[in-house]
Amino acid sequence: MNRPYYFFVLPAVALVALMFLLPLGWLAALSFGLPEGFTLEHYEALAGSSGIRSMLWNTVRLVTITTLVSLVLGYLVAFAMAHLGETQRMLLTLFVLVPFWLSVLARALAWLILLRHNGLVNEALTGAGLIDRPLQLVRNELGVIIGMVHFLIPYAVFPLFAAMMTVDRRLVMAARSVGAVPWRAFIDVYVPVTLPAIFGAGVLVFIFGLGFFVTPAILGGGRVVMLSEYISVSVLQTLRWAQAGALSMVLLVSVIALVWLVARAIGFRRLTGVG
Amino acid sequence: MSEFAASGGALRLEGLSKSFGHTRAIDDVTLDVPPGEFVSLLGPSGSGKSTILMAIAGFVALDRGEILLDGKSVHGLTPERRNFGVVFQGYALFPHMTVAGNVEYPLKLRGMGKAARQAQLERTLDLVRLGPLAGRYPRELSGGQQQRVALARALVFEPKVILLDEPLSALDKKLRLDLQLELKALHERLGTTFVNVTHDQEEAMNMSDRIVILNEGRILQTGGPEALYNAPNTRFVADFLGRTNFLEGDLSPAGNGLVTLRRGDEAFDVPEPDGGIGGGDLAYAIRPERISVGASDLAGDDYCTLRGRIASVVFNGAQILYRVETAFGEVLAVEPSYGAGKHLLVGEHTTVRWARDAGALLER
Repeated sequence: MNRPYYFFVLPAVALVALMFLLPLGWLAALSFGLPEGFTLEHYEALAGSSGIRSMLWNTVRLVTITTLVSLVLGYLVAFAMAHLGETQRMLLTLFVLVPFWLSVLARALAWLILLRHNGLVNEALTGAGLIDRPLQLVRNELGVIIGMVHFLIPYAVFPLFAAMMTVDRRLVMAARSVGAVPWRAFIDVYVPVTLPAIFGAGVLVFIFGLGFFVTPAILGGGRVVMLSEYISVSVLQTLRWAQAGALSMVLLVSVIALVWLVARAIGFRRLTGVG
Repeated sequence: MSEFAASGGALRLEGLSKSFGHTRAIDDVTLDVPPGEFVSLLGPSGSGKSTILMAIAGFVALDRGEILLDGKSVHGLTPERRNFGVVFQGYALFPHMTVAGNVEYPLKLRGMGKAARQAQLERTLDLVRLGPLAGRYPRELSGGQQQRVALARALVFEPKVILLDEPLSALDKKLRLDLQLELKALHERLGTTFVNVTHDQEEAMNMSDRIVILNEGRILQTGGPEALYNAPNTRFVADFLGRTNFLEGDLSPAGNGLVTLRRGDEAFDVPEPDGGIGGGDLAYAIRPERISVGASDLAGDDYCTLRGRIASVVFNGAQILYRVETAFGEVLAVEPSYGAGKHLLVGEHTTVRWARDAGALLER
């Protein structure tokens, strides 16, 4: 209706098209062997390479573990936030948000300092005489998971918190009035009522986790290679752009499929009668 | 009579008090509810009625006082161990469970076997006429149906006392009346003790054996609907329960147990109150439906008469509402709309009359 206003979004649209969609399309084209000629060999190569298969499997496995841990911890934090007083809630929100605002790189390096062999954690534990030798906390999968969970917890906390704030307190009271002890009311009523939010937060965390690149690179110490890092290496170091394109398409399609699942989750939410 | 084994419990509230900050939500409330009674706590919002109910249910910790069920204190018992059926405001149905799931949940918690559970479920759903809707989810039900599910969930484990927190307030007026009668019938059938909280005086009158009027955390008056309506002990009760005209003026003794209420050049004699006319801020309270407008056949010493002018006439179907300007201010009179002959018109000069003992002098 207001035609002049369309021009206002043009610069942004142009920027996205030029800097994002165009390269992406080009990458997609490369992955199909264009412009020389259409071929699926790069995808066949992906499926054929046991190294890539195990890398993909590792990615899914690590991101799944990360998602589950983030959900459990995030649920606890969100629950505390939703049921504490106003002041405590503000403080807790701040504690969740401040690391969220820090650069991924800074956080990964900070974890490295904490978790490495002569880092604070190991020093403290050996100093206290609890362990003889430093624990291998970093430059392995554990380190990657710790770093990723730390990064992803806010993405779990905020959707869960938002959902919990809308839960009618009388639901739990009703469960207790008919004979449910508090933990039973929590399991039977509170958790199922927040289930759509758990599902939504889980998919969100999972999608972000798939795109992780800096954290695994630093905390994995080169031993844990995940999808995004693999793509980056293919583009920047081994210069196998067609392979990078094919992997990117795999990642993109998986993410789109997951977003579709989230959209389905809205329907799921209606099904359970929440919201 | 009923397939339900439930029998009513005797509930006693003894000196209940609860403050939130400087606000006294409940102020020394003592009440005896005999087994099987339907009692309503009636008051405006902030009168403490819901807080009392939640204290009985175990969700509000009291500062002082004792709640006894059949002579035994429930103090220190958590809500889940009190075994009261509670119908919450807004019903608080579990959205992820079907009607059957909601109603069955209390039985599952009690570890009842599957067959017994199914039988009890069916019995309860039949009782509230929800049988065909057992498989539905709460969001697929109308307000009235949701209300019945909430009731069924509170009844299914055969508690001795049912607590209802504004059970009908979310429903439209016509449905509310139907459900009031239904709830009362159900109560009579079960014999369970019902404690109902409401701000709706009509609801309280329609359903209750006894009404407790609350204001600012205190009990003002307790009694059956008729007794309360006909003999309110304060202006607050007279005003809250139905509509009342309050006529104020100078009081002087008139002998024979009467006092004269005078304002300007108008005066009438009314019965002297028990406490005399010496102290307090008294007003003569008279119900609108006790006042006749323009009726010349009511005359004599037993009647009070005021001259006035019709300020407005409203026909609402069953009744005609007159506002009449008098020396005592505007007086509301309600006449049945049938057989009234001709209706009076706005601006007409007329008289209002009522039997002297139809009203009473009440303190503020």
